[in-house]
Amino acid sequence: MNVDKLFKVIVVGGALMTSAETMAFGHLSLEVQPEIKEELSPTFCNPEDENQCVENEEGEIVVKEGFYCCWGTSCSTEE
Amino acid sequence: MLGDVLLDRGIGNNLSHAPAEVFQIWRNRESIEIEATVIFKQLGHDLQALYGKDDLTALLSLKSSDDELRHAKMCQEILSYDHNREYSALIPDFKVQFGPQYLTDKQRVLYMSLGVCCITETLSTALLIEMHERAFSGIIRETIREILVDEVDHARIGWAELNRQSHSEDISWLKEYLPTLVKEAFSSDIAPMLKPNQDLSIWGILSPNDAKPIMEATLEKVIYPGLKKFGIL
Repeated sequence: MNVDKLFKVIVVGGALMTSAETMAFGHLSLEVQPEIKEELSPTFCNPEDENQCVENEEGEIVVKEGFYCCWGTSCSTEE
Repeated sequence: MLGDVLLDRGIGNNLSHAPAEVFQIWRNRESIEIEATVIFKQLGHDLQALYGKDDLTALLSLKSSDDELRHAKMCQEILSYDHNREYSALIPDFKVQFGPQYLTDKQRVLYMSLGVCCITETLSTALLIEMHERAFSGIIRETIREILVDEVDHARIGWAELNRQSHSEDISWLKEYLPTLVKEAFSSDIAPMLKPNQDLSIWGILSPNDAKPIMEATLEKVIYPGLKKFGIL
């Protein structure tokens, strides 16, 4: 199990949900925390973007190097 | 993978070959999913009361309640392969009370978010990844896959709420409840899913020996660093 990936997908990914919200509605802060931005890079993948996800020989959608699979899509969960 | 070998031999996806313990564990999961249906619905309503009906985490929590009910139905489908017993579907008809009574509404939401999402759902996600790796193709693996995908979102709800509240106040008071919440996650949600002294991993069931290093790594490298990030540890 890749715990670093798990941290980024769940902890950082979750925190971004309310960071984006505060940006949109101005409740608490107008900026996404810089350290979260930094941890998000490389960013989560978007399986519909061929620059981030690609189909392999078996027809599975896999993430390209430099991106983290978001697990919320059709991406492979393979390490 | 052993599961694929079994599938090639025509054994895979044939749950009539599964030992009785397999169905007992999946019955436990059905029960846990039903309980989670109630918990996420309450969390969603509590979040709406605090932040408004269109709050993103509130809406995601309400969706999670629907997810959990769908998971329970998938468990019921697995249980339907047990020809030796008939299972009546469990019904979510109870209320949950999380945390000490003296907590404010906002503190209780945070307490629930930590216990249910940050700890239980994050640990569950880590274990499901391993279960998905080991389970053989067919209904078991498909079920695990679907639960895994949803569990990621369920865990994120908690971290989203910790992030939000940590911006406006000191949330380090949660630290004293951490041992209780971790213990509760193990005893109520993790232990009933494990089966010692028997390798049932192709049926999506881990042994405590398999689960222990995964849980330790998840606590030490994912949950505790996350809690430190938001000022709890």
